Amino acid sequence: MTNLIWKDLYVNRSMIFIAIGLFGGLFVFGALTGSEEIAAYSLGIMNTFSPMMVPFCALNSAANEEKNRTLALLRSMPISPRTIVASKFISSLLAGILWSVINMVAASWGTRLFPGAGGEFPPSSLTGLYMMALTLPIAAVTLIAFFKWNSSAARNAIMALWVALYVIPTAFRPAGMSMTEFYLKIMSPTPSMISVVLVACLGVYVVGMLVAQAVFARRELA
Amino acid sequence: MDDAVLQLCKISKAYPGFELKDVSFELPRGYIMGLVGPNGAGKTTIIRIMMNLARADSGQAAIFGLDNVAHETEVKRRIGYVPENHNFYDDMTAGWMARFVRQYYPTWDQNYFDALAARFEIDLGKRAGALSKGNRAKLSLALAMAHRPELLILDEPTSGLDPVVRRELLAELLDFMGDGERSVLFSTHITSDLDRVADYITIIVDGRIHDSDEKDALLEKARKDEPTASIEDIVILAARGEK
Repeated sequence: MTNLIWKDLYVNRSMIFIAIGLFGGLFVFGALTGSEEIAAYSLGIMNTFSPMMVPFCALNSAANEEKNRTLALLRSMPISPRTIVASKFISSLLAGILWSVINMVAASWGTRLFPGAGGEFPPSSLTGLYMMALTLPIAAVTLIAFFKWNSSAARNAIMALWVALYVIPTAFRPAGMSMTEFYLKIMSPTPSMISVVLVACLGVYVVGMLVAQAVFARRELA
Repeated sequence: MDDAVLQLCKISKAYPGFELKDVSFELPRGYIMGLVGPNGAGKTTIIRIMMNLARADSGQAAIFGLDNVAHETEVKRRIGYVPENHNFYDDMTAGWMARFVRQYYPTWDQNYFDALAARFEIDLGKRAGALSKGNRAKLSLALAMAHRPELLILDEPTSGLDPVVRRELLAELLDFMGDGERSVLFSTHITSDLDRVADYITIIVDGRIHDSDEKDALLEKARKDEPTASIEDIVILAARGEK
């Protein structure tokens, strides 16, 4: 399993390094020039990448297996289908956790150096983790679609669910609260709200993994 | 056969427009069997069922006396498999592929792999995606043989290769059989490969086993009617529906 997880992280390394490079470059540039706007922008980029990391790592990894037709290679080796599926879920989650840790450190330093940084949604050290957790169900469905059908279905699942991620919460908007107020509230979570979201979304992610394992064990590969 | 390394019993599998029907044959330990038939006869489907990449609708496959589905991981540790399409992580080097694959085989022999790679002239520092078709086939064979499997299953291993590479691969198969404990099943539609290396031949036509026997016995049978009959003649007659 460790071997497969490492392989997936290695395959996704450019995605993580590019994100770090973009953020780091902007942040260093902002720090050198004393520009609070640029530093704020770089922290914004970090937050923008946080929800993308797990679903896109999952999709990238899936697309890579399909391009190389290596799912059949893995299945022809002494590796159980359950292990293949679990490794994809775990490696994508690890990429998300790694990014969240980087985000925590950056947000903590950034807001200390530039107190006004973060713009509309001032980052806390937990913002990245919260946003990453919100998209775990999307990543789970993406991987189920991949293991059931192919990476094209996985891509469609991401696109549809990304829209749903923005639309569905509006059903829970309290009466009398404007949309802006509602989204500001969602995007400024309390620590207890972050904990609830993290546990719930992790639960959905694990259930998604079990479903994908059941689906993939029955799938025939060309 | 008491010491059959591979036993297929009434395997059936239906796809739209194609049906594999009651396929049964056995391969004794220590021999090479050629699975031969026209394109679309069902050779790859049989191999995919053995490797649990496809599920039989009915029937059973036993490898080393174990059910190939219930004991999938255990069975696959003792098999070397070379598919028709040689699939690798194309962005990774051939050496990386070997390091990746070896983690799953406790019997992996790195010295043997290095020797095979040197003999096959595989550049281990080259990206797998940049290897020629012949070198991909050689890498695939080296990866399949390096853990010294008891059974080697090859799906059209020589298809699309030039005669020099084909001869090298077949020579390697004979070398692999050295201690008499190893067995090989390979599918092909190139009957000259069978003449060269096969001990047993199973002929499959339209998803059904036409015949499965020792090569010499098959030739002897065919030469009663036609003294100069070859394996190719037997396959052609079988494909035409003649005995």
